[in-house]
Amino acid sequence: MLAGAAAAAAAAAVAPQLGCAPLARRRRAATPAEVRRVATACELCPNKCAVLAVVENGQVKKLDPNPASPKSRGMLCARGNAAIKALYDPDRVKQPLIRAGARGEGQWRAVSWDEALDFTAERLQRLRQDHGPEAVLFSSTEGFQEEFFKNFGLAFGSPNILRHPTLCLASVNLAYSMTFGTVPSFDLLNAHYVIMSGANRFESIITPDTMDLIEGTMNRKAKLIYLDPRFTVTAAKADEWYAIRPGTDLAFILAMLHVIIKEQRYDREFVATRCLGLEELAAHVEHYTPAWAEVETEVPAADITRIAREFADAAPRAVYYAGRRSSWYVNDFQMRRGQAILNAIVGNWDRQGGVVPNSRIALGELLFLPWDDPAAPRVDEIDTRFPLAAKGDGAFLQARENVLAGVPYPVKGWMVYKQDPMNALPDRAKTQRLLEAMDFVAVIDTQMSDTAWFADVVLPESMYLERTDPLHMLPGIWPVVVLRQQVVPPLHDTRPNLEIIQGLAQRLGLGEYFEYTIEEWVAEQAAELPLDEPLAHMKQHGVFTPEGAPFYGRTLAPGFRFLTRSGKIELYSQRLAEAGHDPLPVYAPPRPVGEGSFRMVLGRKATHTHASTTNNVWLLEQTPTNDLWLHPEPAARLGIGDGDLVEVASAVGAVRLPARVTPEIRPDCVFMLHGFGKKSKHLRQAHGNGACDADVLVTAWDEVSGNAAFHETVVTVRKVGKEERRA
Amino acid sequence: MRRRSMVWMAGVAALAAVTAVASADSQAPRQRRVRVSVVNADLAAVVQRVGGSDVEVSVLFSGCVLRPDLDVEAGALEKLAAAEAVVWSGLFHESAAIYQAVEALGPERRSTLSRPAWIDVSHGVARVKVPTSSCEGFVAIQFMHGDPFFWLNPDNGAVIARNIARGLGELRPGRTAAYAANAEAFASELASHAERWRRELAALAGVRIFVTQCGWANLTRLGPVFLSCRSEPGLLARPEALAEQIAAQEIPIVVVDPHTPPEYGETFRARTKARVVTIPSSIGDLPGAREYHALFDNLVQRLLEAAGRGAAAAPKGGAGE
Repeated sequence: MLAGAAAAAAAAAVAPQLGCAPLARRRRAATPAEVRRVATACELCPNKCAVLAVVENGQVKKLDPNPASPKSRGMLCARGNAAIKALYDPDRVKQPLIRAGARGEGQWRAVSWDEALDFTAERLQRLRQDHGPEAVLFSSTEGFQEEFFKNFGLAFGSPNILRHPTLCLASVNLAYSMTFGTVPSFDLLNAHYVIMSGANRFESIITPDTMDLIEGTMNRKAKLIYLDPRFTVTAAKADEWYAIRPGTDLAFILAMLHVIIKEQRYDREFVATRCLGLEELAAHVEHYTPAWAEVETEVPAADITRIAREFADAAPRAVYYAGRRSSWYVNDFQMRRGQAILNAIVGNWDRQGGVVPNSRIALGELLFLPWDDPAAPRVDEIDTRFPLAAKGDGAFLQARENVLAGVPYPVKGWMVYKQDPMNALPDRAKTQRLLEAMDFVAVIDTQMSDTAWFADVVLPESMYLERTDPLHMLPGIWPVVVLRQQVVPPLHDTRPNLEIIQGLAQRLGLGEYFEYTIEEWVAEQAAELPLDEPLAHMKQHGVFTPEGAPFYGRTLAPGFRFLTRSGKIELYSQRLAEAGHDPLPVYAPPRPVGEGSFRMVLGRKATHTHASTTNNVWLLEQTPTNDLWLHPEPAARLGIGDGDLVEVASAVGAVRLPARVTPEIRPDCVFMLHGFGKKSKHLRQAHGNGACDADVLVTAWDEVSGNAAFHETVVTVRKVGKEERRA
Repeated sequence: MRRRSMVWMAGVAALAAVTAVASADSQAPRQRRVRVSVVNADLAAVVQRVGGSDVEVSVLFSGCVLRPDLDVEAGALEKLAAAEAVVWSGLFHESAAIYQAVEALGPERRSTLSRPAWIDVSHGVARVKVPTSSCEGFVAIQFMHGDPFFWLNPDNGAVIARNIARGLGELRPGRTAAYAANAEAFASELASHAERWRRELAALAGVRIFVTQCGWANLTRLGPVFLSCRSEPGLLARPEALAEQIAAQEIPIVVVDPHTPPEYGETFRARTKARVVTIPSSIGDLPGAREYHALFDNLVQRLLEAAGRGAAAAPKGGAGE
């Protein structure tokens, strides 16, 4: 896979494709090439693989995997290789832009950095004076320079920092934290039995631990049980695939618990010494029998029973994998709690091949001036609506509802960093209304996202290969610190986020809070690493990982206290009960899908990252567009043939795209790949290509964590044309 | 003129507070006293003020509550076994240590603690330094709601007192009004103290002070600029690395806690020009201190001394340089 991807990257670099003209010209130069290799870290997905960039005569020619990193080892996926195309993408925002026409009209005025920063600071200052600092939202997605953006929002005085987790895995994090006191990793390399619910690892994210599992299943070392309404690549490689009825995963888990407890297959010693609430759990799952679960899930009771026995027998080398994505429903937190409890009672905690608490590496930190923390309450009312949730991340969907309703106070401005809420949030029309309701919107990004397209000002950030970022520690079974350092100077009039923030801060009288350079920041972080010359080491190698890793069993020492209320792994959670939630996971059936309707399920492919890469020509070669998966039975009923253009409509909107009539999906579901159907005409490859799932997704969230529930959308499908195009 | 008015109003409030406490206590029916185990001396002082003569208070922990080997103090274990209520800060380090201590008592003794009321004083408090999670899912559950040392913010004192009053009222419903009155009196008195601290610390406006106890950052809005480590509470960078930055930023005052490992103070003294002072972050480490406000009285006085600005009045207790 590596060799193939790297070869594809090299071959593609030769061909004068879109964005490669400078490369092609440079190849004709007769002078000997000056070749450098720079250690850095990929930004194309959340895995943050370590990369060795090959620079020839000032051009990034190739990106190799850095074998020193346990997170990436000798691998760099298609997305990682395609970063070259993101760097040389002719559609990048190349200098600051101020809107010159109506919002979303696409009329822009190219301006200097001084003018852009003056304009932005003046508008922010006006909002602060007229409505208070809390009248500005600061939303961002994860990134090595995200901290500077968040700090700017707080120093400005706004409590309304909104981040990615409630659009992603907040429910997983909270459920595992409430059970184990921490969010663990899953030792796929050493597991002998793996159950995945909708976590489509073989298709949606190809990283070394994906490869570990593939190798394990291929060599018959590990058995993989896979539950998904779709027959995905993961399903194809699994030992057993069950097209579970969507939203019923918790029923499957509760029935497994029923079998394991009733047959006393749990780890009695482990549960007795380290867990709290087995009696309550046993009584709770008494009526969740496999026969009952079969009705709910449509997975045969005999199979549930057998899988439960096999899972318990394989423990501790057995994991019920949480994954980055599962069935996102309004009961998602409780489903994740069920997974965590199941993992706990078989005693796979902190053992090789099991569920392992993350190890960490201490980094130093630069001391900088503190600001007064914001005085106003959060607009999303997270304290009262989601009292157990991580406050600093906010609850994105609740915030959108409240801002549109003008409660509890008016919000008139929005600063966005590296995020595209127009695609990341369900109900794009509603997000657009939010943008249009703002007096001012500023976006910091490398490209003209759909959100940037509706902004007042776009402040172009340098692409990751053009900048140095803070050191980043990746906790894990095998923890690692990576350095992302500048490989080439910025190609265009762009700046790193820190410098953009400093420019704004100085103009707003907040400069003293950001009086440092990225080099000073990195040096202080590195100072804490147990190395003789830590900074030099990081610059040369790009990676640090401690001796002795991977680590197992450190929480199994006698008397160890878990960071839960009782100090034990909490099967029963008093904390949840006090907060008004079920202390044990209670099953609630999913909302029924009416006759003639379908449940919309979503997913990702490893060739694209959310909606951020669908303008990348190399990745588009792999996955050019999206279509609608539809089972042949309903397709025949609706007169829809493979490739026909169909309209998919929900309560909030409709999109058109070609149908893929396939038996590889349940008859009561349809599927659409995320990330396509961009509005931004600046992105010439992405604009108008495919359909945007956010146009039809309805707003729903998990009751405990506030996490968006993306699979609660019911749609109708009708044919509107014949064989227009085909993915 | 305006300043005088505020002082006068504060005096009235303090008088009203004292009257309310006395009144509430004089009306106390003769009931069994509420035995309350409290996680630290500072919160214990507030429990005593709110509960008055109705409560018998014992303190469970001293020193940093974030250390992994936190244990219920030997002398407090017997009282914990007989406690009717546990007053805690919502911090799992505390509750886990309490559960473990109770479990170690054995089955018969444990039964006496089968239903202690857990009074969480953290409901509704304001917190600084609210962290964000990472894509790797790591935000320590202990700190995901922000600074764990929220009681080092005197503005939270009123909320804490009201939470205690509510909890005690559930145990002695007939005394609910008295506890509420005591809490309000406490809050009023604290507000007048806070105004005084604000005035006194105004002399240090803008002065940079490095503190090893990150909870003191709660007081930045009172005047001085408290710099602290922003990583996970309870963790400090190496003293050499910190000393280098303290020297480079020419920070004039460094505050260490009595429980900060001694090498920090030694390194700061050796490698910086800063005045290094040891100031307790709990009245448990202040000899003779009984009241919650003594914590801040002492801090303010010691900071003023360290800055050479003189002291308005002698502190009730303190620790040396």
